[in-house]
Amino acid sequence: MKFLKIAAILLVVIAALDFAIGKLLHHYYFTEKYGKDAEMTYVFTKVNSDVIITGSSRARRNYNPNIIGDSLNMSCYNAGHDGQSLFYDLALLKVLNQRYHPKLVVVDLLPEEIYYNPIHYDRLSVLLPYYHDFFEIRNTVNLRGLDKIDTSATWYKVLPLNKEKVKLLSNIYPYNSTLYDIIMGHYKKEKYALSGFYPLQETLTPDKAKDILRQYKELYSKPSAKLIDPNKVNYLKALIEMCQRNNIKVVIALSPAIEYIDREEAYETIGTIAAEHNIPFMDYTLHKELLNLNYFADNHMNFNGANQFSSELGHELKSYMDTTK
Amino acid sequence: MFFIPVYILILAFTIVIDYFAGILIENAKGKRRKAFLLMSLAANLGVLAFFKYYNFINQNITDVLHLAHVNNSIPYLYIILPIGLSFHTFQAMSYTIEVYRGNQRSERHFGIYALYVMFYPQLVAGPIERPQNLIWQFREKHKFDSDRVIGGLKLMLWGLFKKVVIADRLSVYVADVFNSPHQHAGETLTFWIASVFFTWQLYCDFSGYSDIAIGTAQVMGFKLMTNFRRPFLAHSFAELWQRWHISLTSWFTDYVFKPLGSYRKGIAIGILNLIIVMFLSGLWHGANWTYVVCFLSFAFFLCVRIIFKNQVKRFDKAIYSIGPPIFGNIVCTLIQFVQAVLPLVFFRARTISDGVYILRSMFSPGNCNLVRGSGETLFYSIIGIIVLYSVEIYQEYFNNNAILPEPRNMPAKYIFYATVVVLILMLGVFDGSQFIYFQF
Repeated sequence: MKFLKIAAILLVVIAALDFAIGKLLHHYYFTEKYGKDAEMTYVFTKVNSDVIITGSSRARRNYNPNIIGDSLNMSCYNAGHDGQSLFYDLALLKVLNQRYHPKLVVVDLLPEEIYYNPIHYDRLSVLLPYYHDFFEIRNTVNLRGLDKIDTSATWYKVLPLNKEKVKLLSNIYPYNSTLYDIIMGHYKKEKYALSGFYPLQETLTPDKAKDILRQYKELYSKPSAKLIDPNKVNYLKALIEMCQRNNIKVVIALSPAIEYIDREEAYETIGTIAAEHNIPFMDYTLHKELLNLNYFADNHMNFNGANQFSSELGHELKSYMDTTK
Repeated sequence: MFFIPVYILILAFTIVIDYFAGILIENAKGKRRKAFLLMSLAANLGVLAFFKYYNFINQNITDVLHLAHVNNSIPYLYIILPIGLSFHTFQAMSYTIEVYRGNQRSERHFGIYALYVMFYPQLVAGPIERPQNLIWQFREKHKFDSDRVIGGLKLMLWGLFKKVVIADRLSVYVADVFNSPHQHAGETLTFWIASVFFTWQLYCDFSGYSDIAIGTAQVMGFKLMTNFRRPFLAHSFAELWQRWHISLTSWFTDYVFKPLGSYRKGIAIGILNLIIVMFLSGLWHGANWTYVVCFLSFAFFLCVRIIFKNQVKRFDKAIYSIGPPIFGNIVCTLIQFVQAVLPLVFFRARTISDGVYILRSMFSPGNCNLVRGSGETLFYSIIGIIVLYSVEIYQEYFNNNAILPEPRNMPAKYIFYATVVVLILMLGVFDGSQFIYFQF
């Protein structure tokens, strides 16, 4: 009895603190002025550019939206997000789709990104603060709770429990690990914020380049690391089809990379999907002039490299837009 | 380090062998007792050697033959290490050894013996229990005791905090540096931060797990042995070693170091015994020479203390004579901490050459750059470390029996524990990380 009483009181106190602190975090999160959270909120609620670039940190570092926009004579925003994959890209476009339809979407996609990688499910945590306010992203966020779960198993049919939905009963959980960004988002102005473009300034040394290659080789040396993720294939198809339904042009682009590019199954899968949907697949990984160490900071391009690549891509996108008017 | 249901058969095999070995050892006389003990040890070590060391030994044979330009035709096997194998093997061996020594009666109830080996809170990562501490508890009746349950839950909460708020956060920085050290060439400060962070990460990860295991057992009415006693507040490296992974250290002391003769046959033999124990401890941790180098480095620091005993005493005395005792405590604590940090570089490094590269970088002049975008990780890590030291200093110097520095009045106590839960929700890392010691 004594134990039950203590447990009940403690639960009530936890629930009250969770509610109050959760509300405070929600307020301060959505009123951030600087930094990646503020930028993400801006993309979700205000961006209305003609051209949207999506993808991972490779998109964010390699594509200069000002140069691409100038080439196309359109407004352009780089909505790439560090560490994200196709899951995030589709969630973002679904949100934008509720507000407006861009004219062109450029999806930066490294073939390896469509392999199964649990980290891509984990990293969907960046969407958690938006879960309650943007119903379009809920299915994507719920993928976090379904990863590694056999949904055809009997136990799941009896008790279809998605652990992510349970966690989201807490008001604080969506803001897990956001405290630092909330503080910085109110006080620290970031240096480079050119329409979502975050260029790197360093230049890659041959030793570091060698080490990056070694890491990639090691990472994909096991066959288990090269399994195509059916969820990602479905998300890529859904993204293209959603854009096509809304008369948004889509381009899949593969920006220059110093790492080994797997031209086997993943590459072919993307190529096939692009061909089936009649959309261009612009591969710059074999572009000799751009594959220059001076154009890279690490496995991303640096500012000069990004500008050079964006200029080349801008021209190719211009001809594509002109021919498909 | 994986859970594969069919691997339960491995556990069943050693349980059956050791159950009967215990009875046979107790009933036998003379040399037959030893023969049954050796049979049991061979079965346990055989399973461990096959699953954990087969490919490692094979690789080393290949390397040695390669030097003589000879090819090794022994095939490699794709074996997955059963989760917690090293832990329950050692626990099982301690049973037959204690029965042989006459300190423990053989357990006739098969279920109770199987429970001793498979007791779930400590099955996968210890503490490695002794039969004298645990088996009798399975025969006791356990009534619900709310104070005991609450104590267990508090311990679990603190363990969870150490794991998800501190260890998993520190691991973000550590992984970035240790997985690709060459990407941080010239970043001296970064290498120091990563190495120090790894020391705390390892401690919080493993002691966090131990607290959860001990707390879980306590909730059910069982008392497991303490595995960590605030090692980083020790004043000497030898003391740190007595406070770190106590169940394994005492296992090696009781079953290897003492039977070898400990220091009884002189300092030189004692040091050799210590090196043998440390070598085996390293191998126990993993089939990789990095662990062996790490533990031999620990042995080096321990040997220095033994060989230069008088000089070390004079040095300690000199430090304590500089200022108030607290100053001496802080300096000695820092010195022993650095002695833990340096060998642990090899514990985390992927290869020995990576470990050497990191150590060289730590002592080479370089820049003070931090890992790109690490402000957030450093912010949360520093909060975690401050909480860790606040709690441990409170436990060490103010209340040895307390788990957390809780307020005395009841309403404040509720708010305190609710705040700990809130902090875990706000600052914890919940993205699929594993306990480091599960792999052993």
